[in-house]
Amino acid sequence: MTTLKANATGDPVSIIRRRLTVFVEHLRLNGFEITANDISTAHALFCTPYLYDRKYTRSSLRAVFCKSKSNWKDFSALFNGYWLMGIEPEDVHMEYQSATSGGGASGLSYFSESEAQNTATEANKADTVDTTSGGASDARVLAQRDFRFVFNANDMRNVEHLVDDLARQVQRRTRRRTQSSRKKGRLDPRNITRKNLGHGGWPFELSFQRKRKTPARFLLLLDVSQSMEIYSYLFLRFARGLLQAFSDTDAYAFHTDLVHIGSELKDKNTNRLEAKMKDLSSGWLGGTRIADSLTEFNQQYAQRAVNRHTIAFIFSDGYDSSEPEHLVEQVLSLKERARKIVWVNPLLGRNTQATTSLAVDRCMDAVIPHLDLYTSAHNLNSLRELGPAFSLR
Amino acid sequence: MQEINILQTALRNAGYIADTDLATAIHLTQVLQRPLLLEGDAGVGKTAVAQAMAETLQHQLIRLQCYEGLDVNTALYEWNYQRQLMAVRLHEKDSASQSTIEAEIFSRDYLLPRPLLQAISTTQPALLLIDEIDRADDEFEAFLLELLADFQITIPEIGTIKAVHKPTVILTSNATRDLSDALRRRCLYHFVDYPGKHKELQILNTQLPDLDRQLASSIVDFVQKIRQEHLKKIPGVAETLDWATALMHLDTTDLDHSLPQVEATLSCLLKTRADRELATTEWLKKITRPETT
Repeated sequence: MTTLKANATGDPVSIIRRRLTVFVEHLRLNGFEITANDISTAHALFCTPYLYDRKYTRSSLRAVFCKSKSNWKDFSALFNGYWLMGIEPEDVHMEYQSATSGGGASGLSYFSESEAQNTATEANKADTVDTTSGGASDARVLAQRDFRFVFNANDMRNVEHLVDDLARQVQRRTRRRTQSSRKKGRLDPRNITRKNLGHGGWPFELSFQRKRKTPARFLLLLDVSQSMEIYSYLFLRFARGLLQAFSDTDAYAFHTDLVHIGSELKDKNTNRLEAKMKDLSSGWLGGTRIADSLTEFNQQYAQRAVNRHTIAFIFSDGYDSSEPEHLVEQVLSLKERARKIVWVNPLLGRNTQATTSLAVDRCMDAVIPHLDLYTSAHNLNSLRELGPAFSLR
Repeated sequence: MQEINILQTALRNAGYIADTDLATAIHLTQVLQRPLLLEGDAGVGKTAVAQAMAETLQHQLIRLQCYEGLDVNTALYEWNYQRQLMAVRLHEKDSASQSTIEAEIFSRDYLLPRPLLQAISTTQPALLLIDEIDRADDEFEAFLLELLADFQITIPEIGTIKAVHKPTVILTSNATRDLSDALRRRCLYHFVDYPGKHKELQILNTQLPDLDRQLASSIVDFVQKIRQEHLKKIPGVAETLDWATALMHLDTTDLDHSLPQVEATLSCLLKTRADRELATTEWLKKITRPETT
């Protein structure tokens, strides 16, 4: 009681400092990564005239605490919610709102976080929204859980973040492989001069430089039919991460038809991407004609989209109504152009007896011998294991 | 906060319209001596912030343009090997000792300072612009972290050079890849978005004072509308300014009755083939048509 009374009657600066500490916790719970240095900077600012002007307090704390675009966009609402009881002052973000307001689109939704939450089950509505990112054990459990069982909106958001992280990790791994080698190869005049200064410039010690290796190109063929409904959302999300990380990547979606989605997925503006995907996605989640879609791809796009540096990924469960021979023929045709074909089948991770059907077995049994890799991606761990598949070797 | 208002006015005089958030962030880079990371799409005016700051603060602008494969030799310093070799050959004929030759050829006279060393060794206040840091490799980013922490560089042959004046550092990124958390932690952050109508009009009026106000307003309306369309490359402020200049040169007075001029100059705004194909006459009519309330 004594402490509470002292707090209540403390000087304004110390009261605000205490509130600032709680505010930092509030931000951390909402995904902000705030360091001790940031906190000390914020406290230092609170000892200056910034304290007396709300507008500048918000601007200065925003510059100190935000570390990314998403932080930046969330900050005002969190600040107002905490310090101003949720009241939006008139001077806040008039510019921003007018700059970013998009047209109202309707239809299927794949990329906005709010929509991702909507895709979660109704049961989630009763959940208390826990905005924490979860402990290490939560992350581990989530990584092992089949995408079929990600119901909770919070889990869904975490899965999305993990998928994005994974796409970035793959980028890092592949980039490192493209570093130039200095072992033999082309002569490097600058290094030779530097090395041979001690010899009066006579090139006794040679230095070489090898041309950078040509990085791999990725081709993603995503099955968006009814049978892949549970997985296609996350695979599209994964594809988006890859496309934004690697400029030389292309993507196509197929069900009964083939749709080019590469340029759409490269769009960094989520609202715009959302609208584009809604336009494209009419007829999705229907039947599947893998062989016909591959035929269309091989005839119309393969010449431009595939070469010997291309690794083709097919994300599909293998449900196909056409003859297996037709599918094999098209896979072989694609294989002639591409370096590698990787088939990612989310059904592989499930209990085989219970889930696979005769149609899948018939198609996949015929195709598997012609694939370079046939693997599962039913949860995050199995997606992670895809790493080596991104290498040209 | 008078300082921030003054800074906003000074930036405006230097041709940059900064909102309160940005002006505060710039002010804090000076107060806290921390680098400022500006992130945003290409063409929204990130580099222009640094240029306006340099002019406002009367700092020398030192720019390092990043690209894939940028190494320390290009960013920090390089010995002038050709001159060193010439000096070695010239000294071969006289009887100078090895240590004398070595001391001479590894002196500052033979050093070629690159932007980072220039920023640290300059005796004048400087603004170091590290442009498009997202294009540089991870290794270079890690090296930069050390530099930004201490503002000192050790050259083995000369010793440690410490900054006389800590330079103001601005980093820009188009977010083509994720920057490391370590770099983000060391920086203040500001996201530069596409400007809203009011701000873009102010920019146009400031940058192109001869432009008719009515035409400026129509141009901004048009650009704001096409930013909502499904374009591959959204036009930034730079494109708006280019387009407005082009229209001025064609003596355009209003957009509604100058469709041929609009079509002829669209290449200033739309920079990909797909976007250009989208811009049919019908589409342009729809965009230029004033909104009915």
